[in-house]
Amino acid sequence: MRRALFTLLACAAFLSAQDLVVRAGTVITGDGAALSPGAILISGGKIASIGREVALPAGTTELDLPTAFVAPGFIDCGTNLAVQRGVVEDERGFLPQYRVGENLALEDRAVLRHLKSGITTFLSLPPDANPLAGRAAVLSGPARGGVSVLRSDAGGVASLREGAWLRERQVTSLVGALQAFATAELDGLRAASAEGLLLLTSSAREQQAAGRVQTLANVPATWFIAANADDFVMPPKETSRGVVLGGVLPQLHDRHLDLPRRILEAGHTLGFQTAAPRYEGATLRLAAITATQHGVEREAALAALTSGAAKLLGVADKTGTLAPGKEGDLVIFDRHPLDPRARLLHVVQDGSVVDLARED
Amino acid sequence: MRFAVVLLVMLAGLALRPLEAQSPPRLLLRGGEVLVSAGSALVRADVLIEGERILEVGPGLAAGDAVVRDVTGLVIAPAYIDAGTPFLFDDSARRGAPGEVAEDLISGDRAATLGRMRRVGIGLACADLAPANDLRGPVICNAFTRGDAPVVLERLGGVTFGLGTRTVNFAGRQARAADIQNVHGAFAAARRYRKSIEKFEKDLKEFEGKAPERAKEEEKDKTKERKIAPRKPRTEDAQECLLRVLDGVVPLRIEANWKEDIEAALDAASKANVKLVILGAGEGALVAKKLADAGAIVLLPAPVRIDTNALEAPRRAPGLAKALVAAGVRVGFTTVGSRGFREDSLPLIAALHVGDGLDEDAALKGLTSVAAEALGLGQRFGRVEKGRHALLQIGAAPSLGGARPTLMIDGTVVTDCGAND
Repeated sequence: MRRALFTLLACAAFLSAQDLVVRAGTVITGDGAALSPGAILISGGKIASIGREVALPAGTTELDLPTAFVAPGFIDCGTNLAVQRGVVEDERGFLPQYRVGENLALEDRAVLRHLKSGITTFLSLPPDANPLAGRAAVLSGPARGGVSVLRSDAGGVASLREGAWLRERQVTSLVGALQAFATAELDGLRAASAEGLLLLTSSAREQQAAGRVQTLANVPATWFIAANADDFVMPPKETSRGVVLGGVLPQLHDRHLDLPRRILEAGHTLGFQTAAPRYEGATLRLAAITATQHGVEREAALAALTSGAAKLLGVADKTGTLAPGKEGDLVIFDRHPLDPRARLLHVVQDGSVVDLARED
Repeated sequence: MRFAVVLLVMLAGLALRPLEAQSPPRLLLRGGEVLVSAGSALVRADVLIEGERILEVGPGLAAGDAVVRDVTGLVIAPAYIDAGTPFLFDDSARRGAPGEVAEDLISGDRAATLGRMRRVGIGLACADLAPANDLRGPVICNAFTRGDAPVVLERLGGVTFGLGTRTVNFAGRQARAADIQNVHGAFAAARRYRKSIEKFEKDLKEFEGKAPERAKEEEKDKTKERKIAPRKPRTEDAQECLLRVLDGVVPLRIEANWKEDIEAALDAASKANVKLVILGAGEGALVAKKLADAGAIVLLPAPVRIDTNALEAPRRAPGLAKALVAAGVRVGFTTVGSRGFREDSLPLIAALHVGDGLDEDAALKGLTSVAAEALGLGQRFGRVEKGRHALLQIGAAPSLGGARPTLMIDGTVVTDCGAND
């Protein structure tokens, strides 16, 4: 598999890079099944086998946790992590060729902090200051000294958020942005969204405009919606890959906290985003816990952090569930990961145990 | 200095109770198991409640004329107490100005807010504003209990000071000296206030004692100027609150996060010889031993920091609650300063601290007995014991995993989850 590796100097101390077997009281595979007890063998950074018991090659590091819960590493569906800043501004703000995956910031300590919250995979969006901001990338890491690119073109980002067009540049209004998308920038839009379209919105008005952009691009879209937006409009199921909710926090009004349940009931794939580094990694699990307190089943909420999120980001063949051949990325808690009392015991990335005690 | 007579306590129950001599209604919770306080063993016992208080806890209590409620298979435990909530105000992010009385700031109908609190088992809350960082001074906080509108249990619940709040740079740290001076200055003013009242009382007594003498004199010489009775000093809520702190009725509350601020707070409390509650305590682990030796209570906000851009200082170290409890500090929780959370998030905040290493029994204590002590209500709330308020949760054994119990406030069921009915 092609994975670009970038050296990250300020990386964690990883216990080992050799084979690892994890035995736990409960293994939640992420595809709806659970093994109790269960064991996972990770070899060469990938899951080699999984079952009630696994054959143990010589020299394997063992992690024996008879009461613990293992789940796939969490996936953050929207961040600005490892993204170079201040290099993608232009006066038009339409940058179809810009790729996050080719412009990574090599020293982003926030990536390590994210990993220590159990987030092993994340979508990095280009800076949100441009209407057509470029291609997002699915990243993973830092493991063994590098951020790896799981998917270099995870879709073109069209931002209908006010911040993207209300600037001193040629496009100064939402209408102007729409006109540009429909005329001069139409080719760029179509080129950028060859792998799908990521629509960033924060209000019903912006959602409507985003719908128009999707029609122009004529590709399936992933909707990024702020959970506290009033007058939320349910995106159409047929043309959507799914919905990523941002800012799902316990403080929201009940009508906003009801959104995860409504989105799932409408048949959408749901993901959560932290918008890191703006928000801490711990807020991702908090979003899922909050959803469970407002009508979402635990397994469905966990899927929004794992298998559902992987599907949404187009990396379901690589991560999101615990199955042979998938990335060796795990989180290990002392209870069910979405029990608010659960303590994160270990994070495993690419088969390496992350040192959670290490200073950022 | 002015002086005045003081109306200190407004007991809600008192106002609601009929004036006739007839005894208040009795309720017998029969067949359940009692958790006297978090962490103690379950005891099979009945609980007899008269009015708002627990009359008796023990096995096989006679019902007499009491209404009997069968709670077989259920656990009767103390309900939760929020030792500091900003959510009874319209703007929960608002910071308080010197001398403000929290009760005066509660506006509008808080039924929805209280309803959400009750659904998660919170039966008593202290309405509290964190002190403003540029307007330093005592902020008065109150406690509330049942009803659709908040019913005031204690109007003058205590004072909250800020020490080095939002201190993020060196210049801010220099403000510490001014902050601590402010605490000392407030106590000095309160003592002067008390002296003025004492002087008034003495003068009044003297004035009244000399009344016959004066009357004779005035009778003798009608042209003589009449003596005027001493004037009462004006009642000052802030001073009354501070006096309650000085008298040991309620602990002194200080919001402090940096190690040096916590040490300064400990020093101030020790000099004034008062009990101390620290809110925040971000660097508390560095001074855990000192906090324990001083018998201070620490109220922690949520362990998850929501907004990394906010100038919240300092960063809370992982395992803070655990480290404090291990050192012998009593730890409770507060929704003041818990950004991203809501009035019904208190049990969630406690649960997140369990996830951060705190023992669950210690977390439950923080929601019950420690919270009561932090409000100076340790003798009245926080345990299921004879003579205390019947502030109870009835259901499965209390846990922070999300179960919803039946909540009883002062003997009245307010959210009924219907078990055994």
